[in-house]
Amino acid sequence: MQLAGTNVGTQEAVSEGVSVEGLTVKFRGTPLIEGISNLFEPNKVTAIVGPTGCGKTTLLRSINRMHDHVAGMQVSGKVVVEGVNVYGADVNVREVRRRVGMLFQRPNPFPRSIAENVGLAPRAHGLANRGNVRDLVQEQLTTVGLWDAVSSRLHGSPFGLSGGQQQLLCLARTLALSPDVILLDEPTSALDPDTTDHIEQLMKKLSERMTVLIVTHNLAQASRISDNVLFLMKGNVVEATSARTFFHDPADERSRAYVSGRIG
Amino acid sequence: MILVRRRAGGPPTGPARVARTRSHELSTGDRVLQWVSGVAATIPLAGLLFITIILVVWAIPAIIYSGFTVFTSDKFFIGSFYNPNFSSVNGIVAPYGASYGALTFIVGTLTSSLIALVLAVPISVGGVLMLSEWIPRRLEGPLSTFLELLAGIPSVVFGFWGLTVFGPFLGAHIFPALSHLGVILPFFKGSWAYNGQGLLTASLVLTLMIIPIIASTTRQLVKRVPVLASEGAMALGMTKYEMVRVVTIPYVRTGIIASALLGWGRALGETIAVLLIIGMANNPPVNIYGTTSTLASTIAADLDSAFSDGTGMAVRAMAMLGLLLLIMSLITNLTGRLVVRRISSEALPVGRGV
Repeated sequence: MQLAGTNVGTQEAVSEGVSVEGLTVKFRGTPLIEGISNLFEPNKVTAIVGPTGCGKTTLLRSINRMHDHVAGMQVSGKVVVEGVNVYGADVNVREVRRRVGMLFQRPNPFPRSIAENVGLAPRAHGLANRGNVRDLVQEQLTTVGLWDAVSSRLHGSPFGLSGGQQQLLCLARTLALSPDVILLDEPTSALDPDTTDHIEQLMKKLSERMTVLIVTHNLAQASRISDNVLFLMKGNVVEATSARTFFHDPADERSRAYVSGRIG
Repeated sequence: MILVRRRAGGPPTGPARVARTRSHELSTGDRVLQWVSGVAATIPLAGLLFITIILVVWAIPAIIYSGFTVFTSDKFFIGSFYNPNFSSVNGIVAPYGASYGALTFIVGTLTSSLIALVLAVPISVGGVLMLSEWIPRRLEGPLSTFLELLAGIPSVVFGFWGLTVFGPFLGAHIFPALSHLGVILPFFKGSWAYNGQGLLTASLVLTLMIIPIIASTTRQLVKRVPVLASEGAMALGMTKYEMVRVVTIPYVRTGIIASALLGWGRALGETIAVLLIIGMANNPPVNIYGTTSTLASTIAADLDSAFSDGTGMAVRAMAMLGLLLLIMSLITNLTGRLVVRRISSEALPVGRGV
């Protein structure tokens, strides 16, 4: 079972989103998240919130199988992306990660040129060739609003850019693979308010053509950009609902306490 | 994020400054420590200066005697001590027929060490990347330890093994095959000594000797590549090979160059192993298998007989060879530092500037 590829630039809206079924992740036998089930709706921004250590990032990283590389991590249950269980027996992990992009807590550009940062992965995946990679680079850098700032130094080091610009570059790098799902792990926690605002706008816009999952500690941010909220505590789902309900009329007492700042 | 770095040589902070300004209040123990550390800090610098000055002073007459022929002539002969006549050049008197052209040794030193370097760098770097990325973790420890144990083998043992086992093996089985490759790669053409003594055998043994130096440094560097950077490549669905190429190698490149130059320095100065294996011929190698000598091995082999030169010039010629070797080592060292400084100015930290 292999996921079909999509063409760069001709993306259609995704249809099925991400569905997590009975997902348990253990580290050396200790459960980090326990039997989580949830549907992350397509073309929506879902914020995953909860106190430190509740398993937000663990959940996020199971969706693109980042736990594969950490010794001692055991994952059980299903994660279905666009109809395919990414933990299925004959799944192509490379293709899963092509379709599920990720942005990290801190910018982590490759120690290569700015253009290569965006162009290398599409080249590796066969989504671009020597002839059209430059157009792809320009297109993605324009999408994230970085083109004007870097067009004159495409072959320079990304480490000369500001932190916010580096994070935008990492976003362009991820978008260059035309993902259906994008995972954001506190992507703005280290950034200035302007870039944060810029990235939040981008998230809203990107959700028109992909499923967006964002882990955040910042409730104000969650309320600004999310359509849905998944609230976790101690590795379990407390409440999964629309953002409006979560912030204004949560069902669970613990959600109310968390939203009002009584627990953090 | 603001990193607070204490700069070496910067002004001492709080308590240290107080202690320093009121030195009359120091206890005896503190004074002793001050003296001991002061002396300890001076010794290496003084040592380098002292050795350089002595070498220069000793070498000067030989340099005057030879002039530029040091670099252009491969005729190195310490003269016939029992001839009643003497050779006199530029007012310097040396045994009859003495000639101190060092070209043979310069060529021997550079070729043997460069071949070793060219072979050792890819083997070390490839091996380390293999160990860190592909070999199961439980095998990594023992294999790395084994690699580093290679560094502990005394060079005379390497020399002995090269002379008695490795050289004859190469001469009997490998060189015949290599020389057939001469059809495609002309530098493999030529004949070799039956026991394998010569340039290529010495270079191969030197390769083994500098692999641990380059590999252990590279291993430390690879371990320090930020996880966040590697995860960035993995999250894009890159393979291990692509990740290594895009992230790991750019991160460790500077360090590899530095450690390669360290290894080169070792190969330049290696004495006893080379002396036993390279054949100690007083001429440049006729081909890649050819016997020759290096600066270090010649000093070790000839210094004893040089002392029986009544004019003292032979010892001075040896000092001149030593000076050449010292200059070569300094040049590789300084070049290395320059390269490293230039490359590391393109800083590579992840998540910086945030």
